[in-house]
Amino acid sequence: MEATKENYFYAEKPVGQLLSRRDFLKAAGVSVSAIAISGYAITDIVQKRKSYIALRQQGLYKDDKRLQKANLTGSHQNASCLKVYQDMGTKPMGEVAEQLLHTKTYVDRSNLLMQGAHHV
Amino acid sequence: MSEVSKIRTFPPSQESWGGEAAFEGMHRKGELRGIIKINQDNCVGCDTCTAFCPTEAIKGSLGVAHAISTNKCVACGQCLVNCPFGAIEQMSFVDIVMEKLADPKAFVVSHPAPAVRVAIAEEFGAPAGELTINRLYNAFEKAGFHNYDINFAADQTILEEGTEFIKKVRYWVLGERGEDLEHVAHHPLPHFTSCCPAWVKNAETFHPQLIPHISGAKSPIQMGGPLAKTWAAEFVWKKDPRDIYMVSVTPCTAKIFEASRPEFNSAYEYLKENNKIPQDTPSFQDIDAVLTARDAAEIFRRKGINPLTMSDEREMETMNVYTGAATIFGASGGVMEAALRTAYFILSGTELSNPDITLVRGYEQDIVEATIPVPLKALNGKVINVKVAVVNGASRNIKEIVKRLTDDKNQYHFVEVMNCPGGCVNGGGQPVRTMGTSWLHPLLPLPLRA
Repeated sequence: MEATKENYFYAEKPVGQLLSRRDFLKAAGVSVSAIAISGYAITDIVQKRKSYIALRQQGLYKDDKRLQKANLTGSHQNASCLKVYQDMGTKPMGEVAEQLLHTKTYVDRSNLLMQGAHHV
Repeated sequence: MSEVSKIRTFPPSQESWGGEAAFEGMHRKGELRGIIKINQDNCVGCDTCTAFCPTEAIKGSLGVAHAISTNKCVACGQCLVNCPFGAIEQMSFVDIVMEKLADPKAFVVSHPAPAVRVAIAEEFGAPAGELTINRLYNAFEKAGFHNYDINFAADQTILEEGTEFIKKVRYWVLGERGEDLEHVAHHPLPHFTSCCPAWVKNAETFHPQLIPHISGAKSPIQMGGPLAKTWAAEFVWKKDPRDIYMVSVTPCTAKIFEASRPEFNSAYEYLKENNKIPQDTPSFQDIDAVLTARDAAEIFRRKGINPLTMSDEREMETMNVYTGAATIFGASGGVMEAALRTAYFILSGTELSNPDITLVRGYEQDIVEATIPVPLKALNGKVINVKVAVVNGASRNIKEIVKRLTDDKNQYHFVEVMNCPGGCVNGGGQPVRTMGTSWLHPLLPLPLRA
């Protein structure tokens, strides 16, 4: 069925009948505030979703400040560490330190997979 | 900020340690596998996790239940922390540790990492970043543990790794030669940190060419394990090392893997060699069990302990002494800053006038670069410029740092790699409070992603 010029007739209603000026202001006001509130909420979530990382970091730097005041800033100031070397009769990278505190065993895992390959 | 979400766990099974073969896939005999698992019934296939995986180990597309490739997974747990539906689960040793705590013969040691002290309180309703030190020690004591702070071992790490780095500078930058430098001749610069077990496994699997560059100094936990069973057993606790049961409490799920690496039984080897234990003693690991911060909170709950209500008073003991350098290990850039404080002191002979090297701290940037001028005492104050980089999060940045090292001129002396954005404070074992909004991540412009 094809619409022809002859049977097509439609006249728009006057705007005032559809939406009065007051109604328009109401509708516009409601939509603007809805958009603003949800936009604010989303921005808030986006900004806050990772804020816990910064807060935890700040907690650590607070601890650092506390220790700096106690003259414990760098690891070489830790008396317990120096006692370890003294008691064990070694020094950093000394023989015992190498045996207990260092490793030579990093494995090339890509190679490990190839060694295990099954060739049928 | 929202509440902390509950993460499901499962105990290790016999298969978790592998079979009798020397290696299976990319795991050696004894190494734990399948530490992070996606529950097929709960996964809705939203595909959020794949954006956080540093090794593209997660299989599955939108709408299909996802699965993790055991070989590729580095167990960092970033997928678990960011899953909006709580469908990803973690292997947990809570039941095993509870049994040990009930065993009167066992001397159970808690070994808490730096990042745990600023997060565990969140499980009990505290705001993010609440610092608990003595309250945490007292809570562990009440639960039946003896405490040995990992921060103390972190200071040990800096002394070892700092010494190693200085040797590398003497050999590779200043051109010195000598018997004590022979070892570093096989380990050229740039020096990579070895503290992050997810990064180490990532490098071993996908960037084996970097292996000679990774520091031979173990991570703080793996220094703490052997020291507890040798030095502390003999000189502090006066205990039989075979009765000591080391439980590290970490912000990290990859540490569960690290503790199972077969070479990390050096206390056993040392004690046997020096006839301090009978020769027929079966081998034991340096770290016997790893708990995540969430797991430790679960132990406290089961025992009816709330760290927030514990006393904040405690006398300083040898095993809990640590410095500011150690505590910042838990933040991205912290290992670098800690190492520089000590390396600067040793090389220049004076303390840094301002120990806060804020230049290297990572939170918003993916890769932080800095140049630190260090005057050398041995060369009458000649200044060398130490170029450093901090990789803040592995999922986007490992390829970039490798590109900068290989395509461009090899420009760094020292590179710190943290698998998790922000560092250990945002680790896979921490209380989870991403509010189920991680699906937003790929939609955000870069500065807001941090």
